[in-house]
Amino acid sequence: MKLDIVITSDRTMITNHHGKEFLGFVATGPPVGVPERLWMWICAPKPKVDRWGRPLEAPYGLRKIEAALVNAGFSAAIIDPDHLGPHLKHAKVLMIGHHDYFAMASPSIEWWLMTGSEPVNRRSFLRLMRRPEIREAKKRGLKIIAGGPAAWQWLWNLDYWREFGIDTVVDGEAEKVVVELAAKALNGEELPLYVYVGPEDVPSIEEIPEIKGASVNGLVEIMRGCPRGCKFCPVTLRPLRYYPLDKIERELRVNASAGLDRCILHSEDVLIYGARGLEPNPDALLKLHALAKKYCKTLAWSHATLAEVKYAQEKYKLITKLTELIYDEHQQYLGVQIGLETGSVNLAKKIMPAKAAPYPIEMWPQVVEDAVAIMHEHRIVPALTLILGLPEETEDDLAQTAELLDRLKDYRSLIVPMFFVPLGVLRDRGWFLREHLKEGHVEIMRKCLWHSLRWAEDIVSTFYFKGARYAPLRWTLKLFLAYVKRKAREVEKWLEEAGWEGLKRAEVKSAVLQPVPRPCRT
Amino acid sequence: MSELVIELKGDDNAEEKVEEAVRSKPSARRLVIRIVANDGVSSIERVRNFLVNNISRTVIVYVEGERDEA
Repeated sequence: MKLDIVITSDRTMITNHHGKEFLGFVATGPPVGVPERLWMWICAPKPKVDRWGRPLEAPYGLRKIEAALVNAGFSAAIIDPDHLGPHLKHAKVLMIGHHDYFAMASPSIEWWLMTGSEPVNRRSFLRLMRRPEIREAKKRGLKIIAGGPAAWQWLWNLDYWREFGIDTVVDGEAEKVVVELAAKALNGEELPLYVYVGPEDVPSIEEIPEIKGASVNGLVEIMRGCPRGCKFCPVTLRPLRYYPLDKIERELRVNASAGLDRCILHSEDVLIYGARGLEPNPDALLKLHALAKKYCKTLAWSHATLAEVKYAQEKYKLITKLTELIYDEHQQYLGVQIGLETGSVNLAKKIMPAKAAPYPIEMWPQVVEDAVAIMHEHRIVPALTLILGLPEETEDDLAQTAELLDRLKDYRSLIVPMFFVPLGVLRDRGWFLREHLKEGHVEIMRKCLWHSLRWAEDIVSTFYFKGARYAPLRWTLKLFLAYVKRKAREVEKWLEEAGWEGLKRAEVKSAVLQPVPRPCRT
Repeated sequence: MSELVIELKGDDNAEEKVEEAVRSKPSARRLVIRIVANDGVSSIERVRNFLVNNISRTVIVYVEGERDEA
């Protein structure tokens, strides 16, 4: 097999995370308390590959780029990072994609800022780009094009841009522009250094190619865009497009034919699939889930919103109907990631005025609690994310968030605080760094940690890693949770003695208080 | 689609010139910025603020000069 275009990423991306998507989040942290190799085995085991080094499962975004190039007649394929050598002897273009090249996105950045140690996703990516086979191919004239959801990070890492000889960075939905760029690169024409794909250049539904090989954990997109318009989110800048069921089915079939019996329905809010505005479309949702269950023993939602969970259940009993359809002898729970963002009504009004719709934003804390209760009753396990350091955040906002966390403590969930990263309409705002942390932030982080530790043990044993197959992972994670608990108690003791401000002044050297790193290198 | 081509020379105030060009043709949905300064990747720094703030238009940046350290 002689490829003109090789598509790849580092090991934290080219993996199936043991079939457990949530383990992918472990790659956003540094190896704490265990050797890096063991950490990488937990989150990013090597995938199965064919004789040419093509992974059986590959990231969905890279699959879309591969499909766009193959449809346009190019010789292109995704290659596992450990099998690049033979292909790069002939290839003329290397395309790379990543969720978080330099660990500048959440949650990588807060693990890095809190521990002072580089997350493994960043380490792994830098190792990839310094491989001799890439360096040698570059000297022979290989063109390198970088893209994906973390493309913006290159703007803040010009040293690495130069070091790795990246010819073009593409930021945005790239299925259309990548064909033009590939042609230019192969014909020896001038390549742009940077491309930002604006709303008018994004592909229509008909122009979005269908994947040709299986995606990691059977992820399939069901729509793009989101109508809620939250200011911190880049997805709302894109037009809203729903995939028709037949298009979704063709991608489910690709995954099923590769032997995958699980899938993740990907959307910013699965519950608005086929909706008119924010009014759920029960018929479309039930048909979508029935279709997915036809091909998959188990399914998960990538994201949903709390307001939609509450509204869909109260008006249509839709959460009950969907879980009745999903749960069977193969599946007894459903995982999803959901943005809680803040417990403050004032802050919610400023940064996400439509987040509670159709309920008024003044009801936001109640919407959160009601939705989390509905999910608990239906064995839906949410990983809830909070944003700390939002622009204009006050001590009172933090107190309201802390109060809301107390109300959520008896509901099965993980709650992960994330530092504000300037994206979306707030792209021009300042970064939230460790030196900006106040007592109020620390209190929220403390509450989230204990809440998540309490429920993580239950989730690991009862839902996520059931059965003999997962025994090694289950025990490794239980040991890790015990280690985190011990460390957390140490930190709490310091906090009780000195308080956060006192601890910062004392410059205590510890695993959680290393010198503050800077994520940007320009 | 309405396109706007902007050429930036070495001594131009890049941000100002780009903003001014955009104001002169607000209907442009695609901007092609050509930086004529032989600075390679470093040229991006001259328009980075504009790129970070832009959300509504396609922007394509061409530069002159080497892109890697080799």
